[in-house]
Amino acid sequence: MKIVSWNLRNIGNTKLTNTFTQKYLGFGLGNDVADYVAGLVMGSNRWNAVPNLTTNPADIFIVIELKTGGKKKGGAVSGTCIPTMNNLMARLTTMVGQRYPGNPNPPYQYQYVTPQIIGYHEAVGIIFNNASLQFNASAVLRNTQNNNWITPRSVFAAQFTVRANNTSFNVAGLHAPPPGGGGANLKYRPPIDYSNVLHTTTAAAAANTFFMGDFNTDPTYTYTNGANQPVHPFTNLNGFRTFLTPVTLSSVRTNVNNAFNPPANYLSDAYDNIVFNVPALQQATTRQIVVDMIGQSRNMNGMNTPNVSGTNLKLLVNAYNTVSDHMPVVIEF
Amino acid sequence: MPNWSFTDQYGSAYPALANNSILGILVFDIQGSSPVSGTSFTGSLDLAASGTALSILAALTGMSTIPFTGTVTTTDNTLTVSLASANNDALTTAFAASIPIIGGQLCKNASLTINSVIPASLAADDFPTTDTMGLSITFSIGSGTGTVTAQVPMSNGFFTLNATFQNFGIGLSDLNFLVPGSSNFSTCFPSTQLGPYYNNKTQLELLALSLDLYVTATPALSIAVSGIGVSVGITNIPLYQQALYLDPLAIWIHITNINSATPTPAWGLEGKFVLCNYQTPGNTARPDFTFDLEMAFPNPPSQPNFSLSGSFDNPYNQPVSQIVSDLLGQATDLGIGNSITLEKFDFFTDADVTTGTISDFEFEIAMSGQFGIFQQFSLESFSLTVAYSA
Repeated sequence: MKIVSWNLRNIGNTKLTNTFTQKYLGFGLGNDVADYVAGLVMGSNRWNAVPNLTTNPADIFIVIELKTGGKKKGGAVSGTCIPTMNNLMARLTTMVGQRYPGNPNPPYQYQYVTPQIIGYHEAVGIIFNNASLQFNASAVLRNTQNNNWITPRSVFAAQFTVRANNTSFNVAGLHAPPPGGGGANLKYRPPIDYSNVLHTTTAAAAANTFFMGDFNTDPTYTYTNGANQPVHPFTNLNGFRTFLTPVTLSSVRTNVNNAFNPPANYLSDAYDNIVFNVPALQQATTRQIVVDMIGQSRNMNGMNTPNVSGTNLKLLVNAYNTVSDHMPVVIEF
Repeated sequence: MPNWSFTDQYGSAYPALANNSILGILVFDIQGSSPVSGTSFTGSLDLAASGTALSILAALTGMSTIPFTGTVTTTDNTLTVSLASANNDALTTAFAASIPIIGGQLCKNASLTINSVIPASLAADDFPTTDTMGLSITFSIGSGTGTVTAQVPMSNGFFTLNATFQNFGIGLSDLNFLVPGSSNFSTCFPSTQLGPYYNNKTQLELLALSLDLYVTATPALSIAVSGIGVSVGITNIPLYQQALYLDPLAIWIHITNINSATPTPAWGLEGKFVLCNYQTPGNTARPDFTFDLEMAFPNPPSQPNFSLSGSFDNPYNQPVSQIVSDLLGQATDLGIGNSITLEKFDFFTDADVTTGTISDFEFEIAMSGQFGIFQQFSLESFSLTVAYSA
C-alpha cells in the first residue's frame, strides 16, 4: 500500500496545465503541473533515485488545498473542484494504460471520493485504487465533543476496505492554520491547537487511521501556555505515530536563501506529515519520507541523468513554486 | 554543415543564455560561420544534436532537422530572438499523422516558434524575460478553424493543447470529432439537465478548448487522449450600459475515457460579472471588478443539490467609491470615503431539487478602510457573515 499526501497549493483545473520555463522542461521532469504531479504519484522513473521511494503507483492520493466554490463545511463542492479531480484521475488512469498496455483489468483502477467543502473555497481530494480498495464512506468531520466544525478548516476523511484481506482503514486529509504572530514562544500556537482538537473526531477514535496533510507544525514543536508549560501538537492523539525524522523540512521557499545550507536554503519548515494509529506498521518495513523534489531533481534528458540541484537550484525552486509550496509525503508498507 | 548554438556567439555577453534559456540547448546546422546576417536568421534546428530534450519533437515530426528563419537583434543590450519554422507544409503533414484527434483532414497548419528576450544585465542564474518554444496547430472546427498552442513537450508524459476563441459560433455536432465512437460529444453535452435553458435553437459560441494528451516517443511514438475540456457559451452580455457585463456565461465540460464505450463527462456552469472602468467603457478585458459565479447541477446520488456560489475579485484594490463611479459616472458622490475597500463579497446557496427549497445560504462581506461614523476610532476592517441551514 502506497499513500501520497500532497498540499498542491490552491490546485484547480487551470493550474494543472500551467507549464514551466522552457529550460526546466528540458530536464524532462514534467511538461506541465499535471504531468509533474502524476509522475510522482505514479512512481515515474523521474524519481527512481529518491531513497526509499519505490516506483509503485499510489493506492491513495490525498490532495490538500483543492480549490472549490463555496464555504459551507460539509457542503457540495462547485466550480473547478470536480473537473480537477476528474482531470487528475484521468491522468492517473492514462498512465496505468501506458504501464499495463492491453490489460483490461489492470491492478490500478482509479476513482475519486466526491469531495466536500472543508473551509473557505477549499476541499480535500481523495483518489484511490478501486482494484485493491473498496470505498465505504466519507465525511467532513466535526468535533464530537461539541458537534462543531473544526476551524478554520475541518478534516475530510474516507474509510476503505482492503479487498485482499477485508481490513478497514481511514484516511483523513487536513490543512491546519498557519503559524501566527505573538512572538517566538507562540508562533506555532494556531497549528498546535488545531492538532490538539483532532482527537475529538470520529477518525481519531477509529482503528487504523492515517491523518495527513499540511499540519503547519512538526510533532516536536511547542508553544508556551499561560501556565508556562509547553504545549505539544499531538498530545491527545494517543497511539498515533509518525516515522518521519523530527523536523523533516517540507515547506518550500519562494526564493533560494543562501544564508542556510541545503536543504534549508530552499526548504523552510517541517509542516507536512502522516500520523497514524496502525499497530501493524513497523518502522523497519515501512517507508515514510518527504520527497525532496528539488534536491532530488535530475536532468532526465542528460547523460547519466545527473542531479541538477547543485547547478540549477534557482531554476528548480522557481519551477517547483509553479506546482506548490509543499513537498509531498509518502508512506508505503 | 557545422553545428552552431546561440551560446557560441552570444553566451559571453548574455550570461543568462547558457544556464536558463532554451537557446542554450538548441543546436543549428548552418551555412558559413553564423546563421545571423545583420538581423536575419536562417538555420536548421538539428534535433539530434540538440539532445534528448528534443526527442519528443523529433518523434512527433519524424524529422531530424527543422529549418527556421527570423530575426536576432541586440538592441539596448538585449538579445531578442524571434524565429519561426520555415517548412510548415511538412510540419502540418507530420502533425496530422502524429496527433489523430486533430489530425488527418482536420489539420490545416502546424508551425513552431522560438522566442527569447535576454537582457545582458541578467546574471547567469537569472531568468530570461521571455523564453518559449511553441507549437501551434490550426485545425477545422465546423465551418471554421481553431488554433491550439502548447510549449513543445520535452519528455514522455502529458501536455495540453489549449485554445481560446472569440465570436466562434458552433453547433454541438461540430465538436463530435473530439469524442470518437458512438458516444460522441453531443451525447456528453448536458442538454437534458439544462432544461429550458437549452434547445436546438440555442446559439452557442466556442469559448475555449483543451486537449490533454499523453505522448511517448519510445519505443515508438504513441499519443493517448487523457481528456478534453470545452467551454461553450456567450460573452459580453451587456447588463447596464457599457459598464456592467456578464462575460462569459458558459457551460464547461471535461470529458475523460474518450476512447471507451462510455466517455465520462463532468460539467457545470460558470459566469463572470465584470464592471468596466468609467474611463474605458465596454473594455471587458481589463475590468475594475469581477464577480465569479459557479453553478453545480444535481448529479444524484453523490450530489443531489443545485448549488450556486459567487466570489468577488478586486484585482486593483479599488475603493467602493470606484464601483459607484464605474456604474453611475465619475461625478457621482454618495459620500462614501475613498479609503473604504470592498475586499470580500461571497455568497453560496444550496437548493434541494427534490423539495424545491433552499437548504443552505451563506454570504460574507468584508470591507477595510476608515468608516464614516467610526473615523475617529481605529476600526480598520469590517466583516459580516450570515449563514442559514435548513
